[in-house]
Amino acid sequence: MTAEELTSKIKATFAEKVEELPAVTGIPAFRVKAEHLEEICTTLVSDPELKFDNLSCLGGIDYPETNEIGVVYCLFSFAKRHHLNLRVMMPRENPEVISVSEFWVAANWFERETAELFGIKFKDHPDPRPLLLIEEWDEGYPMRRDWEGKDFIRMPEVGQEK
Amino acid sequence: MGVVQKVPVYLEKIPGGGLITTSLDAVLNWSRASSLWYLLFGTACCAIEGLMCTGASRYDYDRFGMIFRASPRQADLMIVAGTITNKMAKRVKILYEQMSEPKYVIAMGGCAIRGGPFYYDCYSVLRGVDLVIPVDVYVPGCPPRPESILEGCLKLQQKIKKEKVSDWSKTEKFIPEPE
Amino acid sequence: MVVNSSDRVEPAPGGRELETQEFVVNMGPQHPSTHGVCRLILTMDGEVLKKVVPDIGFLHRSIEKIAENRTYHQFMVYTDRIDYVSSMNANHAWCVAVEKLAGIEVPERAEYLRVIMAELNRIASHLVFLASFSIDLGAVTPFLYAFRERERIVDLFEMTCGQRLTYNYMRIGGVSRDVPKDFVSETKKFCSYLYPRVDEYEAILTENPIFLGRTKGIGILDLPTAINYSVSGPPLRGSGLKWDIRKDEPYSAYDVFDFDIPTGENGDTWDRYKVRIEEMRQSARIIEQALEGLPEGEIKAKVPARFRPPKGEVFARIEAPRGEMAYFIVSDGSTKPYRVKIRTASFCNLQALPVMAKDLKIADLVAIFGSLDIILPEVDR
Repeated sequence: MTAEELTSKIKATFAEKVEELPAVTGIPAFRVKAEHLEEICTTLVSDPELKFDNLSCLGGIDYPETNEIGVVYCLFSFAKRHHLNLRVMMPRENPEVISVSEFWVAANWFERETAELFGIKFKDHPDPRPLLLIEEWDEGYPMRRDWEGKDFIRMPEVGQEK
Repeated sequence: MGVVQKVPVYLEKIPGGGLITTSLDAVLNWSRASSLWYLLFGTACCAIEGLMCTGASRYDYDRFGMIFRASPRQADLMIVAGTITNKMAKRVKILYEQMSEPKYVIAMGGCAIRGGPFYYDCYSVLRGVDLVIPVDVYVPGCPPRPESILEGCLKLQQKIKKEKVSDWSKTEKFIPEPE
Repeated sequence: MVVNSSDRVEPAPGGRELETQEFVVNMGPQHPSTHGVCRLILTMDGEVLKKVVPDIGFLHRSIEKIAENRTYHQFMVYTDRIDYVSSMNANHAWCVAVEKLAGIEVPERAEYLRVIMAELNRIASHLVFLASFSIDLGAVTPFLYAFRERERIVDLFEMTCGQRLTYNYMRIGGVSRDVPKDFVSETKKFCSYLYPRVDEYEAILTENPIFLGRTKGIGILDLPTAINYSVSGPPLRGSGLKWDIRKDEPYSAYDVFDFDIPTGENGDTWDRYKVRIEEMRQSARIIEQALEGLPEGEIKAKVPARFRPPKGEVFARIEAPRGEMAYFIVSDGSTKPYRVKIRTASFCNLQALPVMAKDLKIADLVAIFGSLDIILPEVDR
């Protein structure tokens, strides 16, 4: 399916549950609320015209100015050869979203990494242990934009090195 | 007759065979320097250059007597090649303690010396391996050429040849705490 | 006589059943076969593996956090270190993503040079795979042969950009410097030198009964599992799917060249090895075609030093030697990216290891791990 056909099909199938975002250089992008994610993913996997069987990428993103933190999903379909991007944004205090590892097993490690670096909780995750940081890490969530650590040195701007 | 140049010698011929007299320091240092067996411990980019390329066909470690060993109990040189993160620092210390005396360490590459390109904006990198283990020779570069690493090994050999047996009783030996 | 994992030892008449117990073994971060610092926690019943749990993070250098405080040009140096064995391809991925974001048109000579360098580096990366895979299985000779060939490729790179491992050769909008006068003739000589060498490696390994016994039928990954785990690259092609981003979503100058995509049938270790050997030959074909048609012209488009791409996002991917490498960049209009998410092939391929190694022996685990061709900075970033 081309990008325009896919955009209209998604809008027709899900109506008010999705909100269209500007296309990511040719890939249709939609913003989704956290509570609708599970049924949207079920339809995306099982619908014979959509058939998204592969998760390319899953990452966290943080906007402290608008007090939002979110997860970006990049999906791909080998059967139909089309891409789709979904974005789920949540308030920064207690971000929670359902885990998609029952649909795509590859999401397992992506979500573990996002959980320990951004502080997002993935409900019903089969194995919620930290992945990359040391076992005794207690200094917060390092990938958030406003994080300050005690051993963290920022690179000085050019011309201002001591 | 290369042995004659390397070891101070007074060659005497007595009936029934030859006899070499030399000093104990010289013989022990010469034997240690000519047969450094290094531990296969590479974490990142420097491992491909410093361990695999230098050990392969074009630049050869074996002509210096250096052979790789997989277990720290059988090695006496640890070439720390690559970035050491906080998670790996504890394991580096354990590996160093498992090697038996006399042991030497070469810190290879920018990351092992002072953190390299990962000095700024990094929350998980140890800025220099000499924060956890003592280092004998530093080889700078990112990654250093195989010729640089071989120069570092030769410098280590020169350093070893200056050791004295009488120093052993004076230095404090590292004794790990009992369990 | 071959003993299978499922053979039972019957007790002698009048004897008792053996009581067995599962135990946990640590295949620690320092191990000659783990190709870096990867820790595997193995639950075993005798010699048979019941559960394999990878423990990663020993090389987590927070490259995504670094990206938020570097300009787009400065970050090129770090892309080398994400995948250092094939760092031309890693540079290429960053260039493709940023150029797609900002809509920069790359001159044709630069595209051809990029393809030549990327394919030479693909051959070098597969030679490193061949060397470490064979030495894991016990054959020391291909290690020395493969590194001899790799030294010739590294000589070509050193002639062009001065470095042996982390090249930093490509720039946003093109490449950093033009190739010297005798590069074209030396590379043609290398390509014709390579074909009989690859036949020599196949003569040692491919039909060798010991090699077949250790790799045929071991570590089977079927296609639906591979797609669900987002496996990509030679492991996916070894399981039977004819998918290569250079042919199916072409980027750079790949739509001009003529090459085949090798696939396997069963998805076992031998298929993954054979796919990579064939890919070396196909890469040499691409290089020869690119050298024939190398056009004259500029090598770099004009990109300002304080380069500010428009506000927006991009998701772009390329075919690296290990699989699919993709960048998701969010730009807020300033000289530094707002968020960079790096999606690497080895991260997803390593997740499929427990599925492939179930109920096999520990020696088979070493062969499977080697055939996946994992590189740890890609896993940990």
